[in-house]
Amino acid sequence: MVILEDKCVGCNLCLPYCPASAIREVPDKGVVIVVEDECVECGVCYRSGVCPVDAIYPQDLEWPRTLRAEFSDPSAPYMSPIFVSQEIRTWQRDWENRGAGANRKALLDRKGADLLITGRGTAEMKTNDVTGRYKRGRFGMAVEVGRGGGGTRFGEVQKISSALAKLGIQFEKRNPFYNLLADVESGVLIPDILNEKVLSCIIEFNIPCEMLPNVLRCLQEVATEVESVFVVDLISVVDEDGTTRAEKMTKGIGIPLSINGKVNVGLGRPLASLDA
Amino acid sequence: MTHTLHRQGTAENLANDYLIIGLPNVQTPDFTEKMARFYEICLKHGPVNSSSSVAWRIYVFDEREKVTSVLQDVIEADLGISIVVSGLYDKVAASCHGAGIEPHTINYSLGFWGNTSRLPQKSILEITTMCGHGLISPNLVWDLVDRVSKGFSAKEAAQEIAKCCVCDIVNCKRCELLLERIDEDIRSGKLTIPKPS
Repeated sequence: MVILEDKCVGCNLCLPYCPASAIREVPDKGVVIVVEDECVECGVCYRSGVCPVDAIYPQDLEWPRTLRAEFSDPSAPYMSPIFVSQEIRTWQRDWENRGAGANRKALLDRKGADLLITGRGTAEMKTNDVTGRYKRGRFGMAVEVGRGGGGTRFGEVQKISSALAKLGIQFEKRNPFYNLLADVESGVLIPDILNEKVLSCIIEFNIPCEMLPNVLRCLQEVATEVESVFVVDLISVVDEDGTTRAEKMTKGIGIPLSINGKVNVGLGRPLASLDA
Repeated sequence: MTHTLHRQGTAENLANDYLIIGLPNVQTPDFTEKMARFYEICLKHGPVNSSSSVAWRIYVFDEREKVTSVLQDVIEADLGISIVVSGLYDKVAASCHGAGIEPHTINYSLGFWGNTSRLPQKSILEITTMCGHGLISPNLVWDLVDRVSKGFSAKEAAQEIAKCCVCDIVNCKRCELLLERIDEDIRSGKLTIPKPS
């Protein structure tokens, strides 16, 4: 995002809106600027409408900076050439049908039914009743890097993906993150993108239940090496006794589960098998 | 996606925060009609906020009983669409049982890891995490808290915060209550407004 210096009146109304703290005062000029390296291109400042003189301008983006918007602005379509998975192509086709070729400002100006939320991950457990993606004996997991803590850079994401890759983790191919990998076996990302800052990036994978202690130990170790915040998700099917293997295993390991979360209530049809 | 998973709060203030997500099976020819019926059902029960996309519809409710009623109506309508309820697990399970069904799959949060010193204070995090994409700036919350302390309406402050969330899944009523609580804590000296970062 850019703040047009010749329009800015230095009212500072936009400053608090930035979730990445990228808008700064330039006291000797009486204006504010967007610090380009800190801006995640989420569009919040522009969408807020708080600027009284329309000085906030969403510039068109070029690779690799396009990734900032794609991973930070929920309405930004994944248009960078690296995104090739079927699910993402479906989103792209839908966006194209709604009038592709529009510039970034036109994208950010969309409202209501024209606003297509592309998301940063897959449907994962939300459709598990009909997909059976997470079977008995397996956990779905996600590590969402940057969330809650003002964002992250892909170099930080790589520290986590490389650590997980050493355990033999197979990353979810349908997730946009998968397209950032230069080497799926090592978890190393495309070098050009490592400094790009985003609000969050989700690493999704699926493991046999027995692997959980090793994965959590790995995440505990890498947690001491990163500057970013990350959140960890754990998906588990409900057993006949109404409990989950996740509850039983995490209790044994001493990792507390949240008191709230997401429950697929099993109303999708036809039901998929959960047998491995 | 995980964007309704990590809403922070206490058992007390989360007891009035539920999200119902409906996802169509786009392979079925009548999925548009089913999603439209889902929309009618949810609207009937008075959501406090709502969001729609090609991939889903999300409705925010402030009472568990409404969740139970929505589930009952969805079952009766035999929509066959995947439904996810975000909220306190024991309350969501109770709503499932009230509707005569059992939970199928659960997504748990294992909390925040890494450099957690970057997180805002807990009372601010309870508000900022209502946008799962991280679009609510802690600085904006503090700015509005400051304005509330000077007489600005907490309701309008909550609406201003909710505007940042593109998915429209902020529970405005809960946000208003949280802002009022922060204001009380500041007046009583339990909290001080930090300088903007």
